[in-house]
Amino acid sequence: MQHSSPESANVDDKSAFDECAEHFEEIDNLWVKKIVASVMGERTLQSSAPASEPSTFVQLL
Amino acid sequence: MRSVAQKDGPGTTRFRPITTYILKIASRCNLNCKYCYMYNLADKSYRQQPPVMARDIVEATLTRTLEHSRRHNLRSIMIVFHGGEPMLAGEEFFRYFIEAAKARLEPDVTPHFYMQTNGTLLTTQWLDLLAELKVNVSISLDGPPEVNDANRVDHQGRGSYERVAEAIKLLVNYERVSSPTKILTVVNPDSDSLAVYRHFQSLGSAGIDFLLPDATYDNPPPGLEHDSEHTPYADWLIPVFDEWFDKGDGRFGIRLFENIIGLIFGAKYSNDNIGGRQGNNVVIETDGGIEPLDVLKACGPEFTKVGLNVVDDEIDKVYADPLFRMYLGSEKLCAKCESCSLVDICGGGYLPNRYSSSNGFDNPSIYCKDLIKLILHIQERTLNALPPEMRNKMQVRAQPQAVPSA
Repeated sequence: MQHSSPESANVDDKSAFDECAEHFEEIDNLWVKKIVASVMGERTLQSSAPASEPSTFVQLL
Repeated sequence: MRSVAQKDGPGTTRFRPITTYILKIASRCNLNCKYCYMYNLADKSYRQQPPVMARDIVEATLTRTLEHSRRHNLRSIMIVFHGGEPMLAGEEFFRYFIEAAKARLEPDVTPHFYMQTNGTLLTTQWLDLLAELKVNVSISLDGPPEVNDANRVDHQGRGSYERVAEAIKLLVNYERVSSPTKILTVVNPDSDSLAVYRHFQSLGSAGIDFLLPDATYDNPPPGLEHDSEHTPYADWLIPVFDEWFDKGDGRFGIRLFENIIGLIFGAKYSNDNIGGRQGNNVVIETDGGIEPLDVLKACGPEFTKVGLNVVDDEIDKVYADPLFRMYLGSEKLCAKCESCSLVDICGGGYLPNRYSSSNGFDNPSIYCKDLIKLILHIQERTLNALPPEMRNKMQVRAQPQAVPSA
């Protein structure tokens, strides 16, 4: 059994997401605004962290 | 098979360090909920567990958490008191544990304390203690009396609603409460979802999370037949989402919906039941056993017994265990999930829901069709709520291939 084809809006292109930030204040829905702010904050933290953050991942060889 | 654990190159997989310790401080419960993975599904190993975590196990647990935190430069951790019913461990245990934890861990590592309880034993005296010890409390309840008491009963078969509702009232009105009260609830597809949602709002809590019943292919959830086109769980959740999304004031959170919206926008972290992001928690049993996700007990007898114990083993050993690696790294998804355009949002769903005795975890979630329907609905509503310029830049990717069925 097959389902009709969905489209994924998962934003894996960081530059596209960053472009969206300029429209953030135009978002009316409270939940979307709150969650987008949270994800933007997460990305900001990521981009300001050192490339090999020792406390973020456990490396196994 | 697909891996969402971070890969740095051949032979190298990086996992997150463990920052959340779910402590089974009591292995018995004063309730006997019909769907409980601890007591009423495939695993009965609680019968061999000490009823309450002994002090030598507490000491060993703290030694291992400090060791792991120092090794991975962690400055804070979460300790979640869990069970069974954790309050059966008694007030003295809580005071002893938290004083011992602070003495052992601080100042290098700051522990933050949480408790998931059925609420039936909560009193003002307990609240005073929990406030003093800065323990955040979350309660389990499934809805109004007729919904909750269909499954959440005591050992005499009596419903628990009245006692739990009283506990929530105590918590909500308690002025020294250290954080807003949150509720965990298991979806009952036979109930009126909007009535359930509105009931939770009326209780005054800060938010809820909807959990799907702990099901596997061997033990399918109520109302869901394998290979059926019915999506009872999505059909139950979608009206709630719409009302919450359209009329919510931004304060009463629903974690499942918030997680899905975050994942649509590419959130790096989520809860372990949606998104397939890397995990960061372990379970410590009352006998000191170090185990992965407790809900995996739904998959079979002693399923979570991986042979590790805080007395003998450091926490880092979990990264070498196949079941831990599956859970913490979401290492392997089935071919059907691999080819699905929604996999970055659902992540294959909750690991136990993928299990069958014939095929292991090499299945899509038994809730696959429900998850697809729910995610697509939330995605459409979320995108339509964006300003047009923003929506246009989101680069919605059309996927020509069909999504395989579960």
